[in-house]
Amino acid sequence: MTYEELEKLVLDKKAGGALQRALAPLDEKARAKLSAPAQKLHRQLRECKPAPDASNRLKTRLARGGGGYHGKETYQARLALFALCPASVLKKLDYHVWHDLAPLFDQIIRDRRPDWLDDWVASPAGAALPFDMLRGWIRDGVCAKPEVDRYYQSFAWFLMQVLPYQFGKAVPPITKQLLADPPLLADIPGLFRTDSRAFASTPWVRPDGPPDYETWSDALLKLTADGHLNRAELLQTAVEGLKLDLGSGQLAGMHAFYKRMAPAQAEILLHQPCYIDLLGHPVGNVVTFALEMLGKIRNDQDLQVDRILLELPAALSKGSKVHALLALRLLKRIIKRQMELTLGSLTVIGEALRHAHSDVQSVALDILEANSAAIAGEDLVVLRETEPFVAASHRARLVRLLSSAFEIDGKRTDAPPIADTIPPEAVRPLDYHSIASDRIQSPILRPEDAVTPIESVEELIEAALHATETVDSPDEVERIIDAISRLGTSRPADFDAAVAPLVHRLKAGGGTNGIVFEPAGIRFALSDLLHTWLTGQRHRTPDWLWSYRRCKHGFVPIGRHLRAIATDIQRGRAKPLLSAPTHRGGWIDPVVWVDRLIRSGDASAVSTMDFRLSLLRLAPDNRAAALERASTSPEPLRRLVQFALGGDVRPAPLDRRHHSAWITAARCRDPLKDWSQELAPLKLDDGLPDGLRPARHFWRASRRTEVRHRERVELPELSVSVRRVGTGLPTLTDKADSLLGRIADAFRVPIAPDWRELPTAALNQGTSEDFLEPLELSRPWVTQWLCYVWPQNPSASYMRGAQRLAERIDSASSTWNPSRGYFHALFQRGRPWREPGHLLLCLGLVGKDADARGLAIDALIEGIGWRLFDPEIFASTIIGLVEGGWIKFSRLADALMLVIQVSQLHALAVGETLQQTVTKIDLQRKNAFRLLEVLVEAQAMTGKPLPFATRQMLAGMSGSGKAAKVGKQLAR
Amino acid sequence: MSAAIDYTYRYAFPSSVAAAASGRPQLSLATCDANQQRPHFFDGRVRQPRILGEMLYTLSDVVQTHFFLPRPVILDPVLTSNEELLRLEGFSGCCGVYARVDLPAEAFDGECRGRGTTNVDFNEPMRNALLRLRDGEDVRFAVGADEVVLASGAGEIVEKKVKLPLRWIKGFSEVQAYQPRLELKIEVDAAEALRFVRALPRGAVPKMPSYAVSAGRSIRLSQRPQKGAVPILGTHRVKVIEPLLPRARRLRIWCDEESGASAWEVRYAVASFFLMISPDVFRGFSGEGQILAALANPPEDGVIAKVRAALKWQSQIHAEAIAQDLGISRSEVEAALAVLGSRGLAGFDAGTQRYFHRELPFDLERVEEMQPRLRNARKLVSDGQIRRLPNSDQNAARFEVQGTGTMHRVRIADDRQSCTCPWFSKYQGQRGPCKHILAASLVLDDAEAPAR
Repeated sequence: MTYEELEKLVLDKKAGGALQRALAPLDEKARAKLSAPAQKLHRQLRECKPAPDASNRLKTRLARGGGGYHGKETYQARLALFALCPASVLKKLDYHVWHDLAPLFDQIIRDRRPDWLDDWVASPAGAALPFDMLRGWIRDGVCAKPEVDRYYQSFAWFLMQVLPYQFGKAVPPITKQLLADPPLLADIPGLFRTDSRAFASTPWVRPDGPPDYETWSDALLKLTADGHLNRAELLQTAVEGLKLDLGSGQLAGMHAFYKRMAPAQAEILLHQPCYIDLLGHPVGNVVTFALEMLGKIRNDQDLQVDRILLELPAALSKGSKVHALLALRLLKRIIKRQMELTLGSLTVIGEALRHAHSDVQSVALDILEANSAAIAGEDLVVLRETEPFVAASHRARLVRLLSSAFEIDGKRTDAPPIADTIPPEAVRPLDYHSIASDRIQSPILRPEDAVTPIESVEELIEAALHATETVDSPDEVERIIDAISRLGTSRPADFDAAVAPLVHRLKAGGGTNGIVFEPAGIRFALSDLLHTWLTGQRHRTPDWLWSYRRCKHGFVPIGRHLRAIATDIQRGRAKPLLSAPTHRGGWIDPVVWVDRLIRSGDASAVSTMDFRLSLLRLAPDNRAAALERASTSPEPLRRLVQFALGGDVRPAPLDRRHHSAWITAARCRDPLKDWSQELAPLKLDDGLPDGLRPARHFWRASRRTEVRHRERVELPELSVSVRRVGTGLPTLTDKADSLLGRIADAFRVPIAPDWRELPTAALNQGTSEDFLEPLELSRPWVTQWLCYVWPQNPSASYMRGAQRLAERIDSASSTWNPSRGYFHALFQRGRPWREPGHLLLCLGLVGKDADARGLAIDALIEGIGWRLFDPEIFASTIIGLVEGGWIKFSRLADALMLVIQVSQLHALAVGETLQQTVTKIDLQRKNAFRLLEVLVEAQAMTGKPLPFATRQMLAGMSGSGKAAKVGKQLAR
Repeated sequence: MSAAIDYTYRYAFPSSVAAAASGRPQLSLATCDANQQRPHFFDGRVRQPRILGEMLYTLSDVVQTHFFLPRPVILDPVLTSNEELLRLEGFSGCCGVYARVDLPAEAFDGECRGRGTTNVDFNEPMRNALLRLRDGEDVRFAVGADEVVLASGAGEIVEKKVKLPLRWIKGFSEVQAYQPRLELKIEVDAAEALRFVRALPRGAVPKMPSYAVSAGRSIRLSQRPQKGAVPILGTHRVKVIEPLLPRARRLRIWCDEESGASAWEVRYAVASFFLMISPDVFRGFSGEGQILAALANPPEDGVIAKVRAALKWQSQIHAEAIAQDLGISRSEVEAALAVLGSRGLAGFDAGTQRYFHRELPFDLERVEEMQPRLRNARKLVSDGQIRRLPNSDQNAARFEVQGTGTMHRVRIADDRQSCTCPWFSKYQGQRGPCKHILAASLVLDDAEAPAR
């Protein structure tokens, strides 16, 4: 055969059999001669790129779109490679042929019978070879059976015929296929030695399958029953296979099969050493199996006690409650048989007392109590070491038990006495009182929180470079805004060269947590400000783009503020900001603020957004001192400033043109007060929550039903609305500045304030809207920044966070949907959380988002220490959320369990919450008993008795469930 | 796939826990050093077999684990022997977790038969058997075997051919650079430590760093940075020590505040287990560049050679004594030890605050070549892509260095270095100097050389 003949056949799409027939008679020498040209031909076809010396036939074919990775000519060239090339070429060439070319491939290999075939089928290159083709070759002596795991996987899956079944083809039962080729029966042990997936769960196969469809377990049971397989060998193979390092699913399937074989008592006894070996297995379900099988040994005398006692601690140390309880059940039998507590048994009990789960410790103590007479004095040391590991609720039992053991033994050891359950300080009654919800004047400024302003252009460039890559906190953003406003017009000689790397990075988008990454909403305004500073040219994102990528209402005033700064910079007007925070968290020291006002001497500041934002950031500290200094500030600022700082000044009718500033000053003075009387002279038609009157948020937990993939699913929902206190009616108003407004003002017609000019009211806009959070809030520092708008009253931000957490209640932490920024304000000392704070806290505790959950636990711990946490409000929040039917009690209990371990005060506060909660929720709900378990531990730590009514309710619980059991324990 | 070298562990027999001729359990560790020799380091009896078994099991957990990819790794631990201590060190496949078991002479009744460093075979059957060791048992312990036993050919030769990633060797060497900076932050008793470790999240893990913080006599996990807190990213890496705590005395937690790396030292009455984790799950110790500044401006070769010659497998190296012996300053000795540590020729023990001598049993010639940042910095200098700017202030030198698509500004002052590149801007030096700063340091060093 010449190369030209080969090429002609390969390029003929209909050649098929002719190609195979032409290659069949070639000897190895002739094949070797054609090997290199065949490889070259295959390469040209695959890459659709003819070589310069390619034939016209080939060039034409490629020019007409022939070849390519999936071209039929390419596949035929590939077949030719298997017919002609040596092992060195084929070792990397896997089986990859068109379905209709498979018989040709089969025949080409049979014709050639190459000496490399054994190695090739065992190599990864042979992995995709169809099992029936391989089986045919083995049967006909074309190659040897490859002793590789993949052979058994292929064997298992081919006979299961999962894929043909999926395509609607008939599937012969596995038994029929095996009996049609009996030598395959010898391969069955291999299914247990490898990760064959023969026993992996495939529940989706059965429901629509043919009536005689068999799984491997079905088939093996049948073959054993019919005598085709040796039962004893099969059982032994299965149990030995469990010792191997196989996948968890495969192992689960294997021991499920073993159980289906229903081993007789003699067989169980025979396999006892294997079960014992499995007690230390790294896969949990295998340990469970081993413990269950050991539990099936009927006669206690048959248990291999010494070996079991040696291995049981390994089963306990895995941490699973199921293993531990099964292990202790077995231990009880052993102790019963031994009639004494040996050191081996005590070692196991010691391990159980160190177990993470209180129930396990309880059972271990039950065993000890039942056998206390048998504990030898010297063995006490083993148990005494476990004392620090035992839960508070069991420590008293352990103390009593060991004391009684002492007495029985009549000995004393030198070991130090065990600490009592409750430390002495707990004996005196503790009380927990939270600070009042309306006590918001507590000082908040701490020297260590002071913000250092940026002093030079060089420092500003460095700060902006860092913020372009990542924003550490909104404080950094505030420092940069302030510095641009002060230093933005200063342009040293090498300014352009110095900022070139910054401009370059801004164009590239910066880091993913950077100040301008994926600009959206407020980040557009920041980007505009930076570009304006760097280039000296006014940059302004078009309004349509701003609107398209939703600007969260709360940020609208900030956006206006940033645009105003950019305009000033472009016009060459640098100035210090009134609203630049002096302390972290967005706070401004009022004394510094008044000094800024006096220094600026600019009375027109009264109408700026900068002034209004600065008012909302004034800390409760130093207001009296600031008020004294305010007397020298310019008019018309002076009266407003004095009013904001608590002076006796009140607005006059002429002040109505600065009504936004007066409302903001009132909110600064007391965020929670109804100011409608004091500000009546302004003659305002105000319906905005947190305008003249404070806002109140309402929420309700519920479920909504959606159809997804033709299935109805119930999703958690938290409906939130906001109202003005005192009206009971929704009061959202949306009125733009207009000529009409100004004319009305002239005629003293009541003016309706614009929420865009009132940062307090803007925060409440869109609260009840039902839409996904915009891209704007996809960075944690942005959500945290929302709290900086009005640090005195972060309720709106809390509610926004609560909505976000409820939407993602069962979602893990997310980079793009961060929730943690909302928690920031919970960590401000002296700021009562009120109901919105407690709602955010509770949703953080019951959610799956580990970042939010961790912060919620931190907040609860610190909030109890600072008395911000209110058990009554928290209990009513839990009860309200429970009505929605979607909170996970286990998550809440796990979190609370961590909190109570911090101190007795924490145990007391959580205990009080739970006392109020458990009497008002249905404790039969899934995992609701977990709250009772927390209450048990809290009670043990504080020693404070439950109220009579609670005890009575718990004592009256019916049923045999866990809730009733723990409830009765508590009632005792 | 990162660069790797082919390496063969060749042991005379598989390590095992088996019944010896006396019927007592015998834990035998097979050895194999860089020259394929099989040293015999120790023979004796273990005083607390269960604790030893659990520590070795946990060490094998670390070396067998890749903490963020389901990738199998079969890299054996390294054992260093001298009369005072047997020390086993392991490094995870992801290059982000370092573990060390310190077994002082008091942990055994026996005899040290040699000094040196060797690989030790860890295999699955031995690993499983380690958990069956019990304190009441009389367990023999041997590291290596004498020539007579080896010559009898009773055991089967064990060969493990592996690809040792260069970054693994580099990380294993470089992890020592962090340890002198570790500060002890928290110390709690074992029961409190166990409560803490058990409470670490398993499934849903935080995206942001968590922190271990002191809470009275206890310790808890927090999501907020605060003074004295130890950052943890990848809490599952700390969970590795959970099985050790039920029988331990105390847990000491160390932290390098600059980088965010932390170390977790489980202390027993006479032994300890030291686990060090990198600042992030996805950041191995190899890529952190903590030693780049030292490598860019190392002590003179002669000093390094002298200090190296003074290393005699000490479990604690007294820098002052070496300085006196060699007639050089202590700081030079310490700088030389830092470089030697980065070359795998010394380790650091945070507990004693001293280096110890051991030589990683791999070909370490290429460690320095594995520093791409330093290589790139040298290239910037040799290509003339760095220029010192005039009018620099007295306290700092300023440079302009070619970056990607822009010119970066570098400022080198005594107290602080900075660069305008994204790498430096983001990490602010926390992950070592960038190539631009390194290039500027090289230029500055050359310029100041005549003055020295």
